[in-house]
Amino acid sequence: MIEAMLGGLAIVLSWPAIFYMFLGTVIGLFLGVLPGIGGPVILALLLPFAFTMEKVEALTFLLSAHAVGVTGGSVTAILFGVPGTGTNAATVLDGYPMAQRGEAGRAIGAALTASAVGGVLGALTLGALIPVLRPLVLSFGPSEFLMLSVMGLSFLSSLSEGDHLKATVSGLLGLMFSFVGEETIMGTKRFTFGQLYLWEGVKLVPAVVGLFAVAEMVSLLVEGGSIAGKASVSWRGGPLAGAREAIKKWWLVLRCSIIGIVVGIVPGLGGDVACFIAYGHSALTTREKVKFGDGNIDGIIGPESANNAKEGGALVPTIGFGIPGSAGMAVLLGALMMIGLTPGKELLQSHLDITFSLVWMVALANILGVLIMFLVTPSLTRLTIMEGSVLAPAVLIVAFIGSYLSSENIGDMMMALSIGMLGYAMKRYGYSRATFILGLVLGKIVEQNLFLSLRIHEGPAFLVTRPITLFLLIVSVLVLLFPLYRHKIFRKKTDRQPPGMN
Amino acid sequence: MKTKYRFFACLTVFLGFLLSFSDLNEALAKDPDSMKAANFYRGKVITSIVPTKPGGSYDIYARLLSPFLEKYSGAKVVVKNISGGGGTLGINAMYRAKPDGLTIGNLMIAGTAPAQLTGAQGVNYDLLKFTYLCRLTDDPQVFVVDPKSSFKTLTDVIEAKDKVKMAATGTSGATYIGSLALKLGFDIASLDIVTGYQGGQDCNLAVMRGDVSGMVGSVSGRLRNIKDGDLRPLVVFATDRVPDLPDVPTVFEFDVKGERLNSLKAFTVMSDFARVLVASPDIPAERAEFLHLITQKSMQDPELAEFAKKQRLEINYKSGKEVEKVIKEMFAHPPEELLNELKKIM
Repeated sequence: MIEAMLGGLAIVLSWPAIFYMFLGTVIGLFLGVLPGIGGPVILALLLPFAFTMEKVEALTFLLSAHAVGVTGGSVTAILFGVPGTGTNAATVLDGYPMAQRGEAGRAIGAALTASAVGGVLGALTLGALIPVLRPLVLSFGPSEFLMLSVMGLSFLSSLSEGDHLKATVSGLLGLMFSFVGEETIMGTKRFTFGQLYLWEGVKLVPAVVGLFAVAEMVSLLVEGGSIAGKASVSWRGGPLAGAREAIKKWWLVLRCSIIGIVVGIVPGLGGDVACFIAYGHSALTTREKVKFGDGNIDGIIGPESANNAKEGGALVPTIGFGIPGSAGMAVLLGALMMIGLTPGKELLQSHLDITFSLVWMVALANILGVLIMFLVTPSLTRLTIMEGSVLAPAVLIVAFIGSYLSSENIGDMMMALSIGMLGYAMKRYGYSRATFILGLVLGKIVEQNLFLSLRIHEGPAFLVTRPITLFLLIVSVLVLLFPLYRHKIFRKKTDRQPPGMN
Repeated sequence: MKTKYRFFACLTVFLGFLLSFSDLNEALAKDPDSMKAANFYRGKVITSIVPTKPGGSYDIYARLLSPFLEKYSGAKVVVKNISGGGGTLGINAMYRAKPDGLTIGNLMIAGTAPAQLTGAQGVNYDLLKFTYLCRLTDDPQVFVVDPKSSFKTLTDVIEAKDKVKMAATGTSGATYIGSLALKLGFDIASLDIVTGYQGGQDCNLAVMRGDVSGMVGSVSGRLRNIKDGDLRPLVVFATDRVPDLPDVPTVFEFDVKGERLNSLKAFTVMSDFARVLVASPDIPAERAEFLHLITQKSMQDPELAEFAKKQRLEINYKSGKEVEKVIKEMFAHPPEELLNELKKIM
């Protein structure tokens, strides 16, 4: 085992594999910055180059580019409220408000560090799980997916502090939006109004671009000034301060990484869910005084750790069964086979060193990616003090191109625009956009897995007969009730902490 | 990024010219109409429509093929992803493209033929009118079960007393139609199809986890799991036995007749002519002829075979004429029982 681990490291560090890792990381980062271009698109674009490379180099190149694709996207999410990919959507919720307070540097620092630590933890967990990969994947079925997403929805209660009614209304509105489109069970088309575009439902990237980028840029233009205009631009801490904070909150990072890994392992749940569950979890446990959604740094650290950690997790079913956990992994699977490796038992038994080299690639690419982003962050944060009338049109163009790129359909731009109007109204009248997105992301998954569970287990008995399901059910109930007791639990603890910890 | 990709493509084209253009020129010189078409295509842009997002199998096939089409046509091939409506939007776009022979696309018969035959919502294409360029590959389907189950042969399943649950994606996908063909073809009343899984691979896991007893899906998507002993194949939907699974009988080795046989046949044709390359309908005859010629050349290029092999993509050429013939046959004798079942759930 140890031998294979070191063998794997040697593969990654050998020349020219390490050069291709660098190249892959840089390309992945900068493509990831463009909204709408996520892991699978990056891989699809890079695949033709990989044909010309040697086997291991090709794999290093592709996997590094894929692993850091989400890192680049978090930067635009914070600066302009434009998420690079669907998985960066949760980062917008608190990242952009921080940028408005003139703390973009601190936010990016925290996001990048959490990404790196999460990515490395994800990779290490993958390494540790290699002996039990296969039974692990098989222990999660539709009933567990269902309860995982119900748990995600139960975080609504913690996110809705402040105006409960309005937050609940937006959460339910999000759920209703998630019902648009062709449902997967009977193929019924709901609320599609005869538009083929709506068959795929309200997609996350156009929705988030509208809800945040469009709404925020409109309000920037209405109010004048710059993104960080009203803040005294004292740059309360730069990227390094943010980085220190993320490291100080290692316990939160670890917990959210585990969320990311678990969701990543489960094929079919998708990375977006991981980030929102992590976001909800951070909201539940935060001790920061700032409200969630108003620029609480925990709201960045949580989802960003989960974000990169899930890539390690997603490799689990890919390696263990040759069953890709995501579209990106499907392309990667092709790459693995291209170099003559068959995922499944073979890769785990006869090519263990290669399997470990995948782990190392993910870990090292994450660290490298964050180092590179740290170098460019200081100049990027200056954009937040740029005059809104100059910045907003540029950001809007990029945002619209981003939502268009996600499926090259003009409908995406119209969707972004309509949801943008809704988002602006929600912002004006104090309706939570975070709960809206949570409902949108989880609604469909809850419905689909509820139906599957009921069909497979022939009735609702699975809720108590399956141990993991039961455990998650109990956790969800506790999470739902937690805000009622939060003050009692936390008052004691925070009293003990020396002032200035927050 | 695109420019770099194009650089790579151009390089291939250039080398291609050196290696083989002389050969094609010779063939064209004999036929003035083809020469006219060849002149038409040189320097033009061919749009290759992919009805899904980048990264999926349609996309991979389109991108695999495009440098070779460029090499033989002298045109530039641009891959365009038009996703939505479960592929219907992209295929509609292929259908209504200008009939100038500059729009091609790849589609799957199992996804389109039942949709058209049952009059599914949103379908604005007619499979009988497309210009078929070639078959890219067949995609034989296999019925697999959990090896831990008591089902050793198809007969065990037919004689099963309890419900036999089958995993499927939506009600319009091959996993559903395949299960339905199995149910109707062998008259297995106990077969219960559970829809709602996210994809074929997800269905594999559902069988391995024991959510359900079995599923019908492509051999290529299941071969790894079969070799690892995670799935047990019972029967394949193919005219002849599949080389990868020599011990697995085909559905036609059982005694099935009449309308039941028609259900099995129809699904076998859908998997036998799984993935085809089309151009928009009503394009000028000499351009259609030219496109046939260059797709054939591309598909038989040893370099393409090598690229495909590297990615473990199946490539199995058959001419467009053959595809057209089979599709006409299927539409002349549609599998009524199968279609009625599909219509019921619509």
